[in-house]
Amino acid sequence: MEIEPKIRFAIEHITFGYGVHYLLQVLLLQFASLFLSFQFSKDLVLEVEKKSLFMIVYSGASVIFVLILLLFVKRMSERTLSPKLHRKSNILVSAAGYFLASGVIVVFGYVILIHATSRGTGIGALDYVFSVMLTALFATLLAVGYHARVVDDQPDRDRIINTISKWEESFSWVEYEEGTEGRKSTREEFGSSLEEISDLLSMAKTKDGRELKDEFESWRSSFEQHSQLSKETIIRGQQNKGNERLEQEHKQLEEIRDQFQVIKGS
Amino acid sequence: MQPYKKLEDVVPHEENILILTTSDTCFNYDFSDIVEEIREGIRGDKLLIEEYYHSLSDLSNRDKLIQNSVWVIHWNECLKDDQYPQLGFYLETRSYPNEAEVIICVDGGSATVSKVESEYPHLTVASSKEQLVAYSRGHLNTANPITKGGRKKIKRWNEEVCEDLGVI
Repeated sequence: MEIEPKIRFAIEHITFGYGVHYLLQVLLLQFASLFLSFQFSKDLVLEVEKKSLFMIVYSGASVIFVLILLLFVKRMSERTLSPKLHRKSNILVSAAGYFLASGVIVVFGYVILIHATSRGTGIGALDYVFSVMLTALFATLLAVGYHARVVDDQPDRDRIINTISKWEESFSWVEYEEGTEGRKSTREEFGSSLEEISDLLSMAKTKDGRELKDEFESWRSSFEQHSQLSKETIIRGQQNKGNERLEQEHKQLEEIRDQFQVIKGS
Repeated sequence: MQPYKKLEDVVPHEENILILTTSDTCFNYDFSDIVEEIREGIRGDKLLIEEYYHSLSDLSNRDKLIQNSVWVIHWNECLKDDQYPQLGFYLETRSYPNEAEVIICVDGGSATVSKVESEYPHLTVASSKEQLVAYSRGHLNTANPITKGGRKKIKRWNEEVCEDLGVI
C-alpha cells in the first residue's frame, strides 16, 4: 500500500468519503471562536467557587458527548459501503480521529489563552476536565455534521441489509433441479439482485467502497458472459483440480461475498 | 440453461467442453493446456470456450452432461474396462444431444485405436493431442456465432438441450 492511499484511508475514518471541506470549515470556525474568546477573555473570566460541582458537571457532560460521538460514528460506519470502516476497531479509530481533530483546537487554545498569558500557573484539575469536555463537544459537533451528510445520500441500513440478504438467498438457484419452477424463479431473483447490488455500490463514497464496486463490476461483467453451466461452477466452486479460470472467478466471488458479510454485519 | 428466443440472442455465446477423466491429463498434456490450444484456434471473438470437469461418480446427473456441446472422454480411464457402465450406456443409446460432438481419446497403438473406432463407429476417435485439438476446433468453429450458419447451429443445439431439460 502506498503512503497516499494510507493517508486517504485514515482521513476517511472522519470524513466517511465526504471530503475534508466540512472538517476544515468547522475547524476554521472553531479557531475563529477561539480568537474571539481570546479578544474578550478578560471580560469572560468567571470565578468558580464550587469546583467539585463543576467537576462533576463537566465530567458527566464529557461522558454524554463521548457516548453521542460513538453513537453517531457507529451509525455512519454502518451506512458506508466500506468493509474496513465497519470493523469495531475502525469505529474506535474514527471516534479517536474526531477527538484528535478537535483536540488540536483545544491545545491551541491552551497555548494561546493560558500558557502564553499565565505560563501555566494556576491551572488546576478543573481546567483539564473542562478541556476534555470541550474536546468531546467539538468532536461530537463534527460527527453530527458529517452524520447529516451521510444520512442525506447514503443508503439506509435496512436497504443495505435487505439487498445483501436477497442476493445471498438467490444463490440457492444452483441447488434446484433443471427445469423446475424453483430454479427458474430463484435464478431470475439472482439476476435482479445483481442489478440491485450494482445500484447499491454505485452510492459508495469511500475509497474502500469504490474499490469494492470496481471489484464487483469486473467480476459481474465476466460472470454474465458465461454459460449457465459455467455460472454454476463459479458459484459452487470445484472440489478437485478443475477449470482454473472459473476457479479464479469463484475465489473472487467468495472474497466479494466475505466483504458483503462484513458490511451486513453477520 | 436458458433458451435463445431469437437468432441474435446467440451472440456472444459460451460453449462448454465436457472433460471425462480421472487424471486430468491426456496424451501427456494437461487437459487445461489442450483446451487453451483449442481456444486459440477459435475464429473471431464471439465464441467463448470453457472446459467443464464432471465428476465420474455423478454420471447419473445427465442434465449437466448434455449442456456441453463437446464431450471429450479419456477411453483408457473411463471406457477401456467398462469402469463406468453408465457412460457406456449413454454412448450406446446416443443419450447426448444430436448437435454435440463426442470425441473419444485413445492413448495407445493403432490396433487399439482401430478397436475403439469399430466399437464406436458413430463417434470421433482421437489418437493424439493434435487430432483432439483439430476435431474440437472443427466442431466449435462450425458452431461459431460469427456466421449465420453457426448461429443457427447453436440455436438448434440450445433448443434441443432446453427441451431435454424441460425449460421450454
